Amino acid sequence: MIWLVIAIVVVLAILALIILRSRRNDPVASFQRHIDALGPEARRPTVDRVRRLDDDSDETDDDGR
Amino acid sequence: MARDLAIDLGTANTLVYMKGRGIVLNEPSVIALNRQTGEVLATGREAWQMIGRTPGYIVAVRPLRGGAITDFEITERMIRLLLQRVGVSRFTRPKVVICVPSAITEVERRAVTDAARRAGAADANLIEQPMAAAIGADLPIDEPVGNMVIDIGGGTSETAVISLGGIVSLEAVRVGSFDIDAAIQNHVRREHGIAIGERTAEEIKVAIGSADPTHDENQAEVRGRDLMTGLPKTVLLTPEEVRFAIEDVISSIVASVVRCLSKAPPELSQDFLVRGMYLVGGGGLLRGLAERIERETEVPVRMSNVPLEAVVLGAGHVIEHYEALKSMFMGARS
Repeated sequence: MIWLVIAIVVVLAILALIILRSRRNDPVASFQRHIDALGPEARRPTVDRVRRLDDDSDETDDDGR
Repeated sequence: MARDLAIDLGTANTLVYMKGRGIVLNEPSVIALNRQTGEVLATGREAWQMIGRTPGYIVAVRPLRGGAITDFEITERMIRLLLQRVGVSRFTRPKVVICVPSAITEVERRAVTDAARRAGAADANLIEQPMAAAIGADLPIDEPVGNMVIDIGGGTSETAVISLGGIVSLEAVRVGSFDIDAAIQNHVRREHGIAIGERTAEEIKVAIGSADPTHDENQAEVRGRDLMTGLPKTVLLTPEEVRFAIEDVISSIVASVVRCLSKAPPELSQDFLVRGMYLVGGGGLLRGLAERIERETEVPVRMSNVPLEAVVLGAGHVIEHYEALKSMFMGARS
């Protein structure tokens, strides 16, 4: 009985992997991910991170000199 | 586990972006070596201060000239030192994205990626500078509209039309702000008979250089070595004569922008009239350059908010979304 359960779990895992891989290789989904990653919302954290660093260094300059 | 890195390997400056942290290094692309032993004596700002002021046994060099690698071995050593300085070691192997001029040859591509891998990168990929600049300048390149970016660096000037996350047309010339400095150096030597160093030429460019007449124009006092007597000498330079001296370089940059515009599909061309073109890179800061390009192309020119950091910022964004954007790497599309 236990072997049957293990076999079913293995088969399901393999199926899930195949579906995931085929989705990842889907050119439409891949292009959409590419475009989404270039959108303003996706880019905001990168820009904010640099802006925050700039602000920090400005404060250091003011205090440190 | 090391954080992944994006590197803007520019002719003038090198910037490094660390995933999750932002820009962690911004220094001149200069390395100082002991000519006899080949040992590295300094890199970055420290090496830049040595240019033209070293004793015979020390040489301070820029391993990249005109957007091309002039010395592969020195470039590799510089990349290795850069990675070491931001914490990459034999045990921490990050993924690295390096921005390079689009005109780079296949041999140079291999040299840069191999150098990064040998220096400790687990994987090294390249991205074209204008593409990274467009991402970093926050242009809406995810939309089906024409975005035009002009990246004027130290050794190259690149203009690209980008739409829907890809390059539509591209034009690059191996001319940049170092050529402007060299033109000023040659002019002072020819017309005034004095020799000046490249750092002095750069200071003249920053002080009174312009591509088009501007409101506030002052003369500059220039000190150098008299070519006839060998003694120190001072001369006065006017903005008009600097403009005359750099005219060939400026014309060449403007001509490449015009060529890129003429290669763009008509549907995208009409977008430029509304949205304008974006100027990035240190060379874009030359006074009057935006006005000059605007006058000759009749297309509005806007300056990016982050002209010096746009390229590394764009590459940094790619490293943050590595899986989704890896189709942008050079070679991935061909």
